[in-house]
Amino acid sequence: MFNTLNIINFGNIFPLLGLIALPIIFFIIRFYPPVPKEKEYSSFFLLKDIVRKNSSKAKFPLWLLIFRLLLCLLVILFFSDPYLTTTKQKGNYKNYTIIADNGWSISNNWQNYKNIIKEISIEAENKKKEIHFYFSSSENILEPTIFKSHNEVLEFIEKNPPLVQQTNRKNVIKVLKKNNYFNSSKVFFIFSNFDSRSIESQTKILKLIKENNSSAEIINPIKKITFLEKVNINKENLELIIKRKGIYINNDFVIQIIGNNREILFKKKYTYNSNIDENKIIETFPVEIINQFFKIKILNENHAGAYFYLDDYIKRVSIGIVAEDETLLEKPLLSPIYYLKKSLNQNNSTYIASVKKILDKKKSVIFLPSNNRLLKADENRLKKWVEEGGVLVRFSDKNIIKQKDLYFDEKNYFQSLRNIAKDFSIQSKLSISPFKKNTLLSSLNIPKDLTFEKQLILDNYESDIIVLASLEDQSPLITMKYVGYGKVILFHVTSNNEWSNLPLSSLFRDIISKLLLVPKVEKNQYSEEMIIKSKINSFGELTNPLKNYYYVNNLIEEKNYPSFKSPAGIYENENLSIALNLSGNLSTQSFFSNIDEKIFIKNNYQKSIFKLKNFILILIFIMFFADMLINIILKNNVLFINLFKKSKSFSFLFIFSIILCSQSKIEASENYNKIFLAYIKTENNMLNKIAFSGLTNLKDHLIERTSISPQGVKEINIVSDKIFYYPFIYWQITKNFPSLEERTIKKIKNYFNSGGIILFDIIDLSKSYNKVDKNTLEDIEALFSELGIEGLQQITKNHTLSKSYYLLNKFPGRYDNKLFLVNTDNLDDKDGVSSVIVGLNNWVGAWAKDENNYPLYQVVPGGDRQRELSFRFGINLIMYSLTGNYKSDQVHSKSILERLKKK
Amino acid sequence: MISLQKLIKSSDEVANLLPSLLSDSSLLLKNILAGLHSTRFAGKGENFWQFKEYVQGESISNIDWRKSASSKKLLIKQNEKELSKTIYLFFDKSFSMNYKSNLVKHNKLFISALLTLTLCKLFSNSKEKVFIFNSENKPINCSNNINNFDRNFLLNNKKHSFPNLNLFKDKSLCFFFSDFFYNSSELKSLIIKFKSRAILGYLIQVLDPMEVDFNLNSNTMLKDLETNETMVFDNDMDFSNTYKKKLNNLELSLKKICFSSGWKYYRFCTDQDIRKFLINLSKTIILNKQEIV
Repeated sequence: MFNTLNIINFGNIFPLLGLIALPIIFFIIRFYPPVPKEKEYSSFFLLKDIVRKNSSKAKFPLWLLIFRLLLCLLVILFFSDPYLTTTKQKGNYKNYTIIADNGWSISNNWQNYKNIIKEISIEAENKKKEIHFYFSSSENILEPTIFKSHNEVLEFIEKNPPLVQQTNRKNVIKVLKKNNYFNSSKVFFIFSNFDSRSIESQTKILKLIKENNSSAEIINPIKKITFLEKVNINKENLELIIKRKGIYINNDFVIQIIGNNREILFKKKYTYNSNIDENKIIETFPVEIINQFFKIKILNENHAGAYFYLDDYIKRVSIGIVAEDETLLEKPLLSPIYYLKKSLNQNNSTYIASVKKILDKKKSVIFLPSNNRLLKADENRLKKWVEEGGVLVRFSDKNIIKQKDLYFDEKNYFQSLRNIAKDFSIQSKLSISPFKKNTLLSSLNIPKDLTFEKQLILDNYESDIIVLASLEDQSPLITMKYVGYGKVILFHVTSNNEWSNLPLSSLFRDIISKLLLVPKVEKNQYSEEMIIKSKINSFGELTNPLKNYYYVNNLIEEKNYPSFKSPAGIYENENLSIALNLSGNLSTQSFFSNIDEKIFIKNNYQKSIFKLKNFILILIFIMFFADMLINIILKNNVLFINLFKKSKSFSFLFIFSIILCSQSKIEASENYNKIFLAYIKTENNMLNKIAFSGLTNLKDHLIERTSISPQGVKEINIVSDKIFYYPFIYWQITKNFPSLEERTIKKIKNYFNSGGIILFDIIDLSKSYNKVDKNTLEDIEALFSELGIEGLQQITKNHTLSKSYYLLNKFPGRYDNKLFLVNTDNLDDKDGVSSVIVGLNNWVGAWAKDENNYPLYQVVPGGDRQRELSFRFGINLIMYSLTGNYKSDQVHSKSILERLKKK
Repeated sequence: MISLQKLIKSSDEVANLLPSLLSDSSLLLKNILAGLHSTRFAGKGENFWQFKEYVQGESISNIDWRKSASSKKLLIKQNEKELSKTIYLFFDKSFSMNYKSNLVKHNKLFISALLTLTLCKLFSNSKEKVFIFNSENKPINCSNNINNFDRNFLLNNKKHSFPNLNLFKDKSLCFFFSDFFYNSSELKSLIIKFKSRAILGYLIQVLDPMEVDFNLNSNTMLKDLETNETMVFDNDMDFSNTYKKKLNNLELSLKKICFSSGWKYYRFCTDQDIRKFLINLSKTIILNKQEIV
């Protein structure tokens, strides 16, 4: 290889100027070694002798200096982008021309395709040549897209992924037809024979390329491909033809079928027979499963040719239900149409109307649920429709007895009505006889609880009447007769529950769906324009289309291929959706035909440029690590130890930051797990201090006298703080009560609903302890109605608050007002616990102590007993907030009564 | 001129050291006193120790009538108990003691002075006679007045020197604080002479952690504080290992000197907990003293 190499070239020569610095660095380090740090030391008394032995270590080793200079050299070379070129390159080209196929097969090896174009572009860029780029499939190219760097080319390719279609390369052929057009260019044709729509156009372009520029390189990036050539769904059978081209090591491939809800419905591995690259698969599925098929794909193939989307076109049957009398629909349960309509799958297009209208709409199957006499003209039209290939499904009823032409075949049948399990019948109870094997209905399960009361019996059976289902006594239940090209299927029972409960069963639904497989789909009925809903991209997946495409389903074959006008995708209109697939529509003529031997097609692009950048980068890394290692060895692991020490401190910092982040969580968890007494912060600082002191004292009393151990007292800002952590909140209400926002009111309501209790202490009314009249009460009610609190009532004697810990008959605080309100609304929702407690007694005033541990305020009217009772009330309150109505339980009543007696 | 400036500068530095030394030693003393018991009591000794107010029940013969008359109180003359000892504290003031690495807060001189002062206060508390040698190697009695310890005690000496043997009282107790980074033969002969005069003592080697490990991070030029000589050293594990061996040899030789003369050797690294060291030292001193008595 090396004899073909030219000298080294550089993409960027300016970094090479850095080489000048290398000898300077060498001389500076060699002759002016780094001055050691100067430090004081106590005494050389012990050091002197040792130093003499180790004096040689102070010098900077020459080999290490050279090693590090080499490292610098490599860094400079890396930035100068060196590359080696082969000597094979001859001729002086004006530019580089790339003609590239971008059809469906390219996506199978998209990376290789891009790499080839990248290498060619890099070569052109290094040689300072323009890159003229043509897509062979383009509709309007006579002028190339011109690029100057390989990055621009790659960006352009990324923006133009492969198309989901084949091409005739018409426009490039037009360009090539101009003689010597590419004579002064170095020409590359990135070609894939899978992209050719016809063998003629393929041969033509290859020939023209060689004629135009004999040195043109033709490169085929696609070495192998597997695709779906044919997909056919026939009733319950799925038929697939899978072909492959190229050299495959593995003969296995996997087919996956995905349902409407994107779930995998089917996955199976198949194997190609040796030397045969074609595999025909026929799989049978129940019709209800087939109806759910959405996508068929060959696993591990990345192109649209391996994907097939199913459409309504294949699955949907158009159905007409004859309803001459529209009033039938108004009484659904009695209507013969009701059960029938319910049994029909929503995927089918169902049309309920008169015979005339249905026949006008050209339906595949017509259901005739009732046997009211039809107009002669309609009857004739119906007969004609059946003879032409229509499927008529008719049901029996009392009117059918009078009719003779049961199968619309101009023959007279003598029928009678049979009563089953009635007074004079021999048979007591009949069900359906098991279906015969390998018939249309054979896969269906027969429910046990089917009962038949009446049945239509034909007296003169003819051999051409096919019995699809019969009762246990072999009397026919469903019969079919071929009439002309069509069929008439007759149910010997009604389509409602008048004669049997068959229409109510799941079997009825199954039978109907099976019968719908009988008709032939009429394709030409959807010759209407549809708009694209999803586009199939190069890799077979559905994407949102960037613009609107239209598709008209015609019988002209040419138009059914994906094209620029109608790209592969799913098209829809009001009636149905149709998938325009690439797979099944591929023209495979060019795939397997041999290309003229004179035209040499390369499998890959042989690089003429070897970039050294990556190689140098690896070298730099290796040398850098080697240098680190040398450093560690020379310095006796000192550096390593230091690094270790640093990493220790970093890990400490890391842990510290984690702790910091989790601090807020810890706080929340602390609030949840521990009990805190809380009070709402008011505008008056003095009140806040009293509340804090009072609650702190209450906390101490709680710890001392009960098993409750509150962790502390917290001040809450009702607007900004979370209140849900606290089971009990103390709120001092003053004249300057701020109007609260709706959000805050909502928060308070939620707090109440979640079981919280707030003690509202109306401070300003406290002093007028004897004169609480009706007006005062109204004032209080007005105040709390703003907070959405209603239904405040004087506390009852038996309220749990009076017995939750201590037995109390009054609740004094700093004052001893008797007015003590609790809310009585919605108590059922809160297990009878009052969330709102309103009083005027300034309890925290009675609880608070000063710095010297003396009570802050005198209690009015007074006495230690009153202060003690105020603490007892506080304890009862906290107990009540934590235990609810526990003490009201009958279990406690005995002990409470005994205690009261003692009192 | 330069040397004078240097001297003034160092004298200022020394002066700045004093208050911190005094306060630090007081703090230290408080810390260690709790763990120690004084062995010194007032008793029937030869030397006058102090006057004490008379309490009923005490022997009337002990009343110093003259002093009582002048002070209008009955005072008893207490004499020093015979158990009391004379203590000499000496700390090396050579330039090598000024060394302080980045690993510690104070230099060796400061730590030595701090140890000296604290011991002085400790012994004074126990009513022992304590002498500290100043920069001119003169013993100054600091037991009665700690303020005698002034800046002159902290001025550096150019060379390692020992106080004159005649300045020591027989059967006294000595404390020598130094790095002992010098030839130990002079020290050895001195201690032998001490032994002949029943003078016991402690050699306390005060070292900086850098002097213990000798671990340099990079290529460094070191300057000897005593000789101003310079040398370049690199971070070399072998070198520091050899150094540690040499340091151990020095320690061994010092221990040997002590062992032969009944002295005790301790090493104190300036990054160690000084409080713990002093408590341990004091306990050993008490035990040792009881043995002697």
